[in-house]
Amino acid sequence: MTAVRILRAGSRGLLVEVSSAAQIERVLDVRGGPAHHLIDSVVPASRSVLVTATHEHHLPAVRLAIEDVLATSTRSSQSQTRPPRTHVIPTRYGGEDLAEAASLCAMTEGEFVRAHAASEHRVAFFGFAPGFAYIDGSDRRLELPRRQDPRKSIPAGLVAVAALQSVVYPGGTPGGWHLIGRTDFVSWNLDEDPPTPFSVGDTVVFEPIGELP
Amino acid sequence: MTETGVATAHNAPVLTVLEPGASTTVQDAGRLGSVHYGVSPSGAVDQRALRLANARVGNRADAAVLESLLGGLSFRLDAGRWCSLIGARAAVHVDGARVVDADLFWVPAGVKVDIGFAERGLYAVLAVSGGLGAPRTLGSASTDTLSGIGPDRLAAGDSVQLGSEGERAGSAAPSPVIPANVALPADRAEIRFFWGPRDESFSAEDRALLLSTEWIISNDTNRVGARLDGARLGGGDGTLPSEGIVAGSIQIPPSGQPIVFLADRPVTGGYPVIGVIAETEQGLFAQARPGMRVRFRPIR
Repeated sequence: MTAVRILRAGSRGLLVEVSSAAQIERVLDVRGGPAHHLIDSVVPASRSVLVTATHEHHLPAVRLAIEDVLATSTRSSQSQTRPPRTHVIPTRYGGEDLAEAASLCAMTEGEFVRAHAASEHRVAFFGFAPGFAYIDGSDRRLELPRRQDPRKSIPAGLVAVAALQSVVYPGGTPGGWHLIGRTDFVSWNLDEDPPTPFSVGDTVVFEPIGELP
Repeated sequence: MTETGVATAHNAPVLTVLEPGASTTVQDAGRLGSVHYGVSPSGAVDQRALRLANARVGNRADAAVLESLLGGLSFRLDAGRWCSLIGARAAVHVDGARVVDADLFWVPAGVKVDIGFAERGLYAVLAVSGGLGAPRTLGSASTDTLSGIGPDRLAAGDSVQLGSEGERAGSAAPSPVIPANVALPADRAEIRFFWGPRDESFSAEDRALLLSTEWIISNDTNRVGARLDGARLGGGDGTLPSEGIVAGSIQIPPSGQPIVFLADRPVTGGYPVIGVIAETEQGLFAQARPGMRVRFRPIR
């Protein structure tokens, strides 16, 4: 296993730098472990997890708890906050950027859409803006840079891709990803608790509806 | 409303904003349980001021307050309440009469309260006994000026519900243990910070520059963060994959101009953080006005 680094982040933060999604999920397990009451928040990202202790003097214990979960070869069943779910996102493919995205990948629109729908997508982490869930797992052929000119405000429910990730836009954020479809699936609702059905590790299925290009 | 200011059965008593000043928002201890969903904690930029103002009027430490940028706020209450103004220093007039101790003063129903322009400091917290009943989103009434979550900034004519006075927990009077107000930074204040998490991706020259520069708070400073003038650091090793950012983070974007992230910061970022201001000094730092200077002193 590649070495993991645990870096101090201010008075009561520890930035855990990892090299795989599996390691991220391990670190998330501290939320359910014996040190859970010493932990304020756990923020996963693509290659790191930021763990914040409730108080500066709890940092040594939290650091030990992180080292423990990383050293364990199997994940304890009681450490998961809830079992992973599968979310089916009925998607009407055909967004504004689909033609250009397909062409950049040297595919037809139909090939692009089928490759996206067939990919094994997984919720990786939230960041950038409230409700912005980065969904990993796109087919390798679909790799794309972000658009040159981001848009100022993307409505909720638009499905977009960039790098090898997908997103269902939560609404009201700017966006530089390629718009390839839309859905009525509500991925973000501030009136609900929790405000999203997504959790890190959940499976996402983009299910094509209507006519495919 | 009757002459004595007792609210009618149909209308809960409110605080009505007459003039909002530069910017007034509802704040509390913050939206703490949703950071992993990309939601900024927000909350009062100077949490010391939040806690002390609430303590002075007998509220829970995390009760909703008004956070006024630079003062200039005037308001009226439908019912008599104790008020406390903590943080930035500003003259307070109740019904035209100057208040001697703004850290605790009685406001009768129906009269105008004027908070003057802040003479020192940037943010003044106004706590009202019984608290404020602003609508909560994800567990907090605070306004997030970056994402728009929470109540809108207050405008003239807006009102916020007053909590019921009930039994006051007892006001916390100043004593040798409880200060009358929070400290404000002097010019060239030294602010303690922790190196990292990405200090090693900066050159020795850049790290030395962070310590030797008298940083100037720029005008481009708000609840999201304070941009600093005075020097440019070399960018780090280029962009990182985005990673979580704590409050007080000193981030160096490609321009080399440091930004210190505050309450409404994005919770992840892709540019390296060279250091993080000690949590106990974040409130003090946040009160530094544009044009003031700060220096950073490393811990350990």
